[in-house]
Parts: sequence; structure tokens; C-alpha cells
Amino acid sequence: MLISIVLIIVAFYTLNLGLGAFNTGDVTLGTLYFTVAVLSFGFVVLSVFRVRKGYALANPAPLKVMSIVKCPQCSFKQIKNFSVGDFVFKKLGLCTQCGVASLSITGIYYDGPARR
Amino acid sequence: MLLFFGFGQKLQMRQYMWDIDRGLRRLDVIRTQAKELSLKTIKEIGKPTIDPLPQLNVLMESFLITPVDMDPSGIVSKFDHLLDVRDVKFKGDVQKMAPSADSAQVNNLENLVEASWALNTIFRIIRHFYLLGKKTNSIFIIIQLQALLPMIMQEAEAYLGAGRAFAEGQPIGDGLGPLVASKLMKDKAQRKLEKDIMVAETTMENRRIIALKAEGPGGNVGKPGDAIQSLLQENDGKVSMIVMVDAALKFEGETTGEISEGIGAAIGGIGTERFKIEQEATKQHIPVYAVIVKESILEAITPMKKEILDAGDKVIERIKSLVVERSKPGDTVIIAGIGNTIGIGQ
Repeated sequence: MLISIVLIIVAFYTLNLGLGAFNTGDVTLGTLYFTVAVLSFGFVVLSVFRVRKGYALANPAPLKVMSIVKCPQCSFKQIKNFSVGDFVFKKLGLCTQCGVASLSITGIYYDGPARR
Repeated sequence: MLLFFGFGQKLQMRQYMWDIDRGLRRLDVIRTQAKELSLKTIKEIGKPTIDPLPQLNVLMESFLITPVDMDPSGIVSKFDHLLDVRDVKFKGDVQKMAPSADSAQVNNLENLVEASWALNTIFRIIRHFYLLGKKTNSIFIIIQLQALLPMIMQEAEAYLGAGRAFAEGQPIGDGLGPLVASKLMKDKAQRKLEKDIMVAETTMENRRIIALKAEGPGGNVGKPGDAIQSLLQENDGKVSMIVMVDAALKFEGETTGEISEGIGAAIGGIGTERFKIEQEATKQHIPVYAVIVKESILEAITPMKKEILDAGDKVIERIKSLVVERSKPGDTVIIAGIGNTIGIGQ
């Protein structure tokens, strides 16, 4: 933080000196001051980005998990949001399509963006 | 320029220390989130009459003293005994904190508290080396820590994701083995064997199959080593092969859900379970085959991805061809689904 503040002061000061040098017609000195100013600003901007990236926590939002409900007697298949208490091969009772008590959860999976 | 020549190393060390400091702050946030999630879930599920926080704090700082290895003879059984004691104590403490939780919920809560414990331990170790490096001004400690930090952060974020899955009882990537075994065991007569292991008999291509997995749907890995050992003793000389199904860590660049076949006992952990399987299989000259599904550490302990779920059916096909190739009709084959069975029944 302290280094960044010092560099911002240095950048503004050298920018001012550079502009002054350009006004007096000393292009070489002006370019030198201008380079120092750009490097100082660049360093500060990079540091700010690094800090922001460092503090950002990976995916704090709750994950989207789905449960697959199937009936082995007929073609009924439903994909619903996972609810607490769901587990693979949990029997859910009567199938709404064929009326046989064989409905169960056949799979639970995470449905979301690609992870590392 | 002269400043950079004179103080280059100091400046570099300062920059590394900033990186570690940032990582440490993130780790602190992650471990606090995990602990708060544990506390909230214990209160919701366990309905304790007294505040569980002091007991949770005690568990967060708990440790295991490993056996002396100067004389390594018999160290596996010593380790096994210690792990059993630790498991019983941990489960008992969680049950005390959450008196209204049933056995599956206690298993899930135990897994959740263990994830919080792991995050707390990671934070304490990183903080220790960071402060030690700072105190001794040792660039070598700081460089090593900074180099390892990205992997440590990835692992910490994976543990936090695992905590969320354990709190809700969702299947995780490591549950691939139990998922495959439960598909084989479905609607067959089942019996409980050894510590938290369920066994069922079925047939595959005219072979007698003994499938086993940890008892679900609570978070549990069971003791498959003990179970396989007693199954081999029960069927003395009759078992022609063992097939172990497990999730395995992939290398960077490999595809999640890719299946690989190999030789040997596919089981993680400290090595006690693998030792028992290897010992008994060697005694009876039984070949042990492994079918693994590749995934990253993050995918292994966070909710199961679609690719891993879909790999389950492909694994069964691979097992079928392995069994046809390597055994004769009428043979007995043990198929063990290894991993955490959270969110997977049987």
C-alpha cells in the first residue's frame, strides 16, 4: 500500500516534469520522465488487480444440484432440484404415469459451470 | 537500478510475503465459513439443548499421534487401532453435539466437522510457516510457501465445497465406487458385514458376484479392507478375482470421467485397508484388478459432476468385459465399490 502511494506521487511528479520538459523542447528528458510515469502507474494498476484477484473467493454461490427421478416400469423421467433428504436409490412411491410404486431417484449430479 | 541490485532479493521476499499474507487471509475466511456452516447444520439437524460451539472448538483442535515407526513391525495394526479409536471418539462427540440426528445424519455431520477440521489445520500450518519465515527472515521458507500456496488454496476451496455437500447430504465425486456397487446390489438381498459395509450377491455373465460398498446414504467409507478379508476367508479358495472400483486423481490436462484399468488395490487413505487386501489376496493368490474414474481433487470432494455420474454405467460395462476375460463361468468374483457413500443408498 505504502509503495503504491509513493509510486503514484512519483508518477504525478515525473509526469509534471515530463510535460515541462516537452514544453521547453527537451524531447529526450521529456520521454525519460514520461517513461518513469507510465511504469509507475502500470505497477500500481497491476498491484491493485493482484489484490482484487487475491481476495475474490471462488464460487461462493450455492451449487445447482439436480436429482434424476425415474420409473423402471414405464418411460417416466423427471429432473428436479435436489432437496435435503434426497439420496440415490431413495424410493419415492407411486409413479404418476403408470401408478406402480416403483418411482426412485436414480442419480444426483452437480449441474453448473465447468470447474478446474 | 542500484537499489534493485542491492535490495532485489529483499523486494522479492516482500512481494512473496504479500502473496502469502493474502492467501492466509483467504484461508481464514474459508475456515470461518466452514466452521459457521458446521455450527449452523449441527443446530438445525441436531437440535442441541446446550451451545455446541465450545465442543466444536475442542474438536477443531483435536489431533492424532501416529505410532512409533522406529520398529515398523506391526505398525499397520497399531495405525488401524488408532484410527478406529479416533473414529469412534469423533462420531461420539458429534452425536453428543447433535442428539436429535439419526445415524446417517451423524455420519454426514462427522464428515462436515472433519472438513472444517482440515481447513483449520491447513490455516494453522500455513500461518506457522509464514510467521516463522517472517521471524527468521528466511527467504527459503517464504519461497517454498509461496510456491505451494496455489495448490493449498485449491485444496482449501475444495474442502469448503465438500462442507456444503456434506451439510446437505449430496453425493460427491468420490462416491463413484459406491454408486457402481449400489447399481449391482440394487433389489438384491443385502447383509451387513464388518464395520459399516453392505454386501449383496448377484450374477454377471454366469459368474457369482459379491458386491460390496459402505453403508449409505450417510457419509461413510467403511472398512472395505476388513470386509474383503473376511469375504475371502468365508469363501476360502473359491474367489477367482477381486475388482476394485474407485475415483482417482487425474493429472492436469486429463478429462474428468475418463476410465482406466490397472492392477492392484485401488483404495486411498493411510494404507491400512490396502495392506489388509494385499495381504489376504497374496495369501490366496487372487489377482486384484482396479477400475478407476479420473477426477480432480476439487471434483472428488464436491457434488458429483454429470460426467462422473454417467461414467458409472460405463464402468459396469468395463467390469463385465474384465470379468469375462479374466474368469470362467461359475467363478466367484468380488466387486468392491470404494469411496465415500454420502447421498448414495443401496
